[in-house]
Amino acid sequence: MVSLLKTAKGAIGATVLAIAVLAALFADVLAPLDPTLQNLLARLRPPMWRDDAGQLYVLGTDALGRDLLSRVIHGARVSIMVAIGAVLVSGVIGTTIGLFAGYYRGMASAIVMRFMDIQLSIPMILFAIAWIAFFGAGLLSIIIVISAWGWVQYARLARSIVLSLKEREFVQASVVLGARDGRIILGHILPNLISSMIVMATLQLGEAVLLESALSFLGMGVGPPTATWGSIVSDGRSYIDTAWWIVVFPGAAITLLVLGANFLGDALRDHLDPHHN
Amino acid sequence: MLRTIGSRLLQVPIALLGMTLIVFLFVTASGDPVLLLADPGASDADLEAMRRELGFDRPWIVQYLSFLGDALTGDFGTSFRHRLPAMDFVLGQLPATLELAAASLVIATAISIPLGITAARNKGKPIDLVATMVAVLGQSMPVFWLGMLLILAFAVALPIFPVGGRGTLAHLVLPAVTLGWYFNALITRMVRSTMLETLNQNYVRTARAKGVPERRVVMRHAFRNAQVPIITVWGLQAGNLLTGTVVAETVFSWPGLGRASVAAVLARDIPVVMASVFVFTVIFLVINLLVDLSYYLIDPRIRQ
Amino acid sequence: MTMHTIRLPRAALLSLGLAVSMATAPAAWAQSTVTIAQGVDPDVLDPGHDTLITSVSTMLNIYDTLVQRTGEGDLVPSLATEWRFPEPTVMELDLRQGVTFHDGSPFTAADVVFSLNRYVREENPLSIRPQIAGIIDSAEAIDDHTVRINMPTPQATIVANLARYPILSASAFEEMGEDAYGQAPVGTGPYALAQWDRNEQIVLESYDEHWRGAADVDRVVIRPIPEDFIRFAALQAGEVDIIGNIAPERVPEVEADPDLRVEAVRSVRNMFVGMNPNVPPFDDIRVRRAMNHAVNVPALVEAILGGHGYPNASPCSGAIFGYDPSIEPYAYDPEQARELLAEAGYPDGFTVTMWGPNGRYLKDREMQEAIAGQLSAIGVRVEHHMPEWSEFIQHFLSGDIEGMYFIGTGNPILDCEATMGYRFDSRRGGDFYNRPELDALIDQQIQELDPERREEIFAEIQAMILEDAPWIFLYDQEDLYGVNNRIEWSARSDEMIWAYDIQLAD
Repeated sequence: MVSLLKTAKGAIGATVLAIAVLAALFADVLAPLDPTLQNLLARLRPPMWRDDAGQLYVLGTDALGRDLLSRVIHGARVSIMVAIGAVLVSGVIGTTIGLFAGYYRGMASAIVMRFMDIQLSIPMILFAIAWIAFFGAGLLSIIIVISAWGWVQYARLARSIVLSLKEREFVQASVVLGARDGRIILGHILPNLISSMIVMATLQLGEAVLLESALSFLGMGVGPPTATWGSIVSDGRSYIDTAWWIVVFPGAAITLLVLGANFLGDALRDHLDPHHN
Repeated sequence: MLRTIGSRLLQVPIALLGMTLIVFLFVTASGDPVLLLADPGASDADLEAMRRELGFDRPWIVQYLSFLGDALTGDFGTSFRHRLPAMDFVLGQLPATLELAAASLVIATAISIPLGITAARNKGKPIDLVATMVAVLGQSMPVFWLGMLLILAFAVALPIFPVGGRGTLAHLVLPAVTLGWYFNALITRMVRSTMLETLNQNYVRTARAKGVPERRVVMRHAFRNAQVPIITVWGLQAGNLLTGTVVAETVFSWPGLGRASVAAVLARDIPVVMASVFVFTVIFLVINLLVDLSYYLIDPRIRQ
Repeated sequence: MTMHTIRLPRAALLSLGLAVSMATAPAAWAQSTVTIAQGVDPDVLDPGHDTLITSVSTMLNIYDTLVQRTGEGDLVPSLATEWRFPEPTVMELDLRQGVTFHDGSPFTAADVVFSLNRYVREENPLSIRPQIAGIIDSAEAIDDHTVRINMPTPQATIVANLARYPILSASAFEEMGEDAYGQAPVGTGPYALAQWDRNEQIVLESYDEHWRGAADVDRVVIRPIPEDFIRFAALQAGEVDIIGNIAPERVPEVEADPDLRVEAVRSVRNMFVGMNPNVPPFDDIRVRRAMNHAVNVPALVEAILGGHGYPNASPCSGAIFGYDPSIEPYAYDPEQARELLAEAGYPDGFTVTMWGPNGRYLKDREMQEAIAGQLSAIGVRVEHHMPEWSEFIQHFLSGDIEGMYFIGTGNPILDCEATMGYRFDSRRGGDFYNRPELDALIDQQIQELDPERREEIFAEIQAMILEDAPWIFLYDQEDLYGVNNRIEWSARSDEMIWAYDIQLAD
């Protein structure tokens, strides 16, 4: 872990993610103001504006006079919750399916593989929108839809690793010694699988953040008054020439978080899997 | 190889069947299209009559099967909203989307390949840093945000390009760059790393030692090998391209199938939804088929 | 080699930029083209199927109606030249002679009979049916140029209503079939459809044989541009000549541009927040009144609409017949609001949902959030459901609204009667509202042919509704258009853009 943080990428990535998680956890304390508090007399104020009471609006205000910084800090919540939720759900499901598909080769495995090929060839955005039109745009609904999008990646990776692990001597030896499948899977396969899955999950974090923000931007994310980064940008669209800050800062927050997740993922991969490349 | 292509072709009907069934179920179950078609103030009797007319009074399975039966004959039904054959509407919206997607792939490829090659040949120098930045940022920026930053920079601050809509070639530039940026990042990264590997391989060194001109070494020997991963990226990203298209079309008010298909889902215009799903799925499958074929053409080893 | 390939795209981009500035420079022929940008493309150019206001605006350039409304709001003859009422429920109209459709065929009584009977038919009902059912029973031809219209009861607003039923060509319709006709409409209007690239542009060409004479502008292009900033930028760039719904904060910017101007008019559209009075907490009149005391409408209009709106405590817009200007709004008084809530048993307020569209009306999203912000001061916590329009209206029409809803009422006949039909008449699907004594008054005004007496009845109706407070009464929209100075055109209060009225400035 220490050596991981010594690489610049790993350190930057971990720091960014930590900040985002902290912002999400302690948004109520960290945000200078209530993110839903409106002041119609102070709409669209630029960054570093100070009101008569001396309150500083570091990132300016939005179209309803709400503090943009507070909204961006609270916006971390949805991004982090959706990203972590989706990565957990799709990671667990994808890994499990991939593991079994790799371990037990046969009819079922072949069908699962076909299914994954097919899923990769269908336009998931339409599926997502149909899903949200049906189930509504709650937090859970969005986590599910992003998981449905992402699980295939884990399943494919898990399956290919399991296939190669099965040929390795220590697994073959257990098989010869008559160990039970459950024992082999839990004792030998899973532990050797887990690090690659963690790398995958970290990289998928960024992907999930991007998808959530895109859905939010299209008006299909968690609705108001909850602030999400995608929806703040979307709301700022009509003010882009008069109040650039509404669009620029939350977008930068998304980019930073994704960047952090990607950095950490890269560093983890180099760290856990030095033979990669 | 033929087996790969064969199994791809086999997937086509299954993918179409699965996708249409899922989307059909969700869309039908999620709302009543009649409420959208009727004028506010329509009486319940009017609504009931409209439902009957459009066939919504039947069980969903009957509706789906009858859709399927008609689709097999090429008839996707009539759009509830637009009152014209759904497939005609979808195909009418397709060119704008294809234009945007093609332009973005051209831009992405035209920038990323030279950038990736140059970066690999100058590892650690400023140009390499630029390439890495491009790759890293491109993968981290949300498409909609990039689009708006481009509007801010090149349509508002420096009014070089129009902010949106479709018309002249200039209208195409910002949306295409927006959509292509992500692919540019992926391909740059891919080209750079593959080139780094191949430039150090024996046959490349041999070619150099033999006095083959550098340009020839790079293009003939090294770049050849970089083509496979690039094509893989194209195939894998076909799905992302559609998501990007929906977003880019929205940001730039670009008319196209991405936006139209989302509008159709929201309006429960089931024939148009079905026809869009069909067209998109076929396009993806064709792209993947082309990708398989290109492997075959580029890399003789796969032929065996 | 590599440097060269890297430079190439940049050079290409630059030269593209140049090509554009040349392409957008107006060519000589462009002088007689006017381009209008709207938010959405019509679904279909069949007035029976598409009743969205922007679609109607487009179609009224292609089709004529029996009577037409001038920009000043007067009703004047169009396809009908004269009319009379042989009985209170029968109207006879003489039709204009020598009028031809775009395909050259003559306009006759058969076309009127066909169109009206099609709109009103009960089996396989059309979207337009609610606008005509209950007003007209049937139409029949007396001879080639005389038509009789039968009404269920005397209709005070029949003439105004005739201004909103476009007349189709019966023969073209039969020949082409319904669906094809909606793609390539044949009307008698001043413009004929030349080209339709869906979601991109509708091109209309002046119909030189039009009975009022050829229009001043040869060609009208109507472009759907959903993003309001992009619509505005297109106006600034000279790509389009008229845009609707410009954001209030852009008004100064438009006014400062020597090439552009703002056209503003008090709209027939009235905005409000409805409360479902059939379920708690809004079944208690004190709660509904408290809500009205809690919202500072003038402040909302000032802050969010930049003052471009008219606070109004009547459901009828100030731009229409029947509006009672003496109506007094609930005073903004959060203290009293809190007291009323406490009396009703909600001393700590309550949580309630508010449905409303996002992107349909001027500043709709901000307005809903701002109203919620003001309500929070009396302890009312609002949960928003703010989907885009199609999603919203579907939910709204399904009647599944337990709390509040934000919506606007348009008025195609510029008469309070339409508002009653949309919102209050329980027999015409009035939203959640069912008061027999109000229904009786509504019937009275429909059948009252004396305008002064009708106004009195409407005053009574408005007082009754205000007292009952089924809505948080808000404001009438001001419609704001950005217009290029190269054309002469002024805004109409009914949200229509009549290309025939557009003239080039020189």
